[in-house]
Amino acid sequence: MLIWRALSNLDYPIKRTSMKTTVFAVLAAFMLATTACSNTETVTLDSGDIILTAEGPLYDGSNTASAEWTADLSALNIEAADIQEARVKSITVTTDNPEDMALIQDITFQFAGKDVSMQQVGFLNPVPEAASELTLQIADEQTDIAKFFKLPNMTWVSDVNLNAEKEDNLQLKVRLSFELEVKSK
Amino acid sequence: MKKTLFSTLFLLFSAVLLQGFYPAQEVEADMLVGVWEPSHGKARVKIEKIADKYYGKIVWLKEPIDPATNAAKVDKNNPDESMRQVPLKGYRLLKDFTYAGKGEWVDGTIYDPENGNNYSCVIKAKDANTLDIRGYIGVKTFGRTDVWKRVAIKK
Repeated sequence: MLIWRALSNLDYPIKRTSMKTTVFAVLAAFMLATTACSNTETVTLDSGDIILTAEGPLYDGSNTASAEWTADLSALNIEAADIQEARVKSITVTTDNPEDMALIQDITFQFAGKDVSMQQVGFLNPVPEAASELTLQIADEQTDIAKFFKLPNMTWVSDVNLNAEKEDNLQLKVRLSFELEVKSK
Repeated sequence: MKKTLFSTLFLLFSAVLLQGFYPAQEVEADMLVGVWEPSHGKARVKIEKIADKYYGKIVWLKEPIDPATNAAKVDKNNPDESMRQVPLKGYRLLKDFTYAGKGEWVDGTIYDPENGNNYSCVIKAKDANTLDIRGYIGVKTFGRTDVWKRVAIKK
């Protein structure tokens, strides 16, 4: 009540902001935002070949191969904290044994990690007959990929539908290429 | 002397108890691992543990062929158009569950391939072979519970 009375007793004129000042403020804010946004650069990170293993015996149907991975960011002279955005650009899969490749009907690929939701980033369905290397189709929508780089490690998970049983392990050689948007130094 | 002996015994007893407690908790949490069938009986979902969280994927479909295309069913309702050819067999419906104790797994999501929606989800074990799977939006009150049965019954 006291505050209301104090406010209603105000009798000094409220100074109106001039048009010039407003335009100047808007321009300054725009320039600041532009400068802040352009303060990043895009770098490409190649994972190299990572072996994902599905432990046998494996069944006709869906099986899971996985591996832990930590990005070597020091080679690019960047730190995980500097990564603003990350996108998977390509995923290729090969096997040492051509017979193993012939078993794969289709394949999906995703990231898993502590405190980050699993993200599916690629798949191939169906796998072409007699293929020696698989190039997966990449998801248009990729969210939270940068968060995986801030973890001590991330888990690569690949689900493969097999067309027959397999007694021993299945090993997939997976190679990813990332596009990282990092803070400029 | 008596006091020291009592303290030592107490510490030893506590250590043994604690050692026994943590593996027991893990065994309890891993009870979720296995193959489960939702109440509609149209699919079976294998739940497995990956990097300390629990995930479930479709491993069997009662009708694996889509009559409209005469090919294996795919995730045709995925909001991301680029992922609509991902096969439903092997699809991960349940994601990111962590064990909260007392037979409950939380912080996960469940995907409904019928409409392409993701829901928050909690799983509660009613017994060793029965799960209550509750999907909801926002608060648990506004949701739906389905009962899933273990396919290979654990005795």
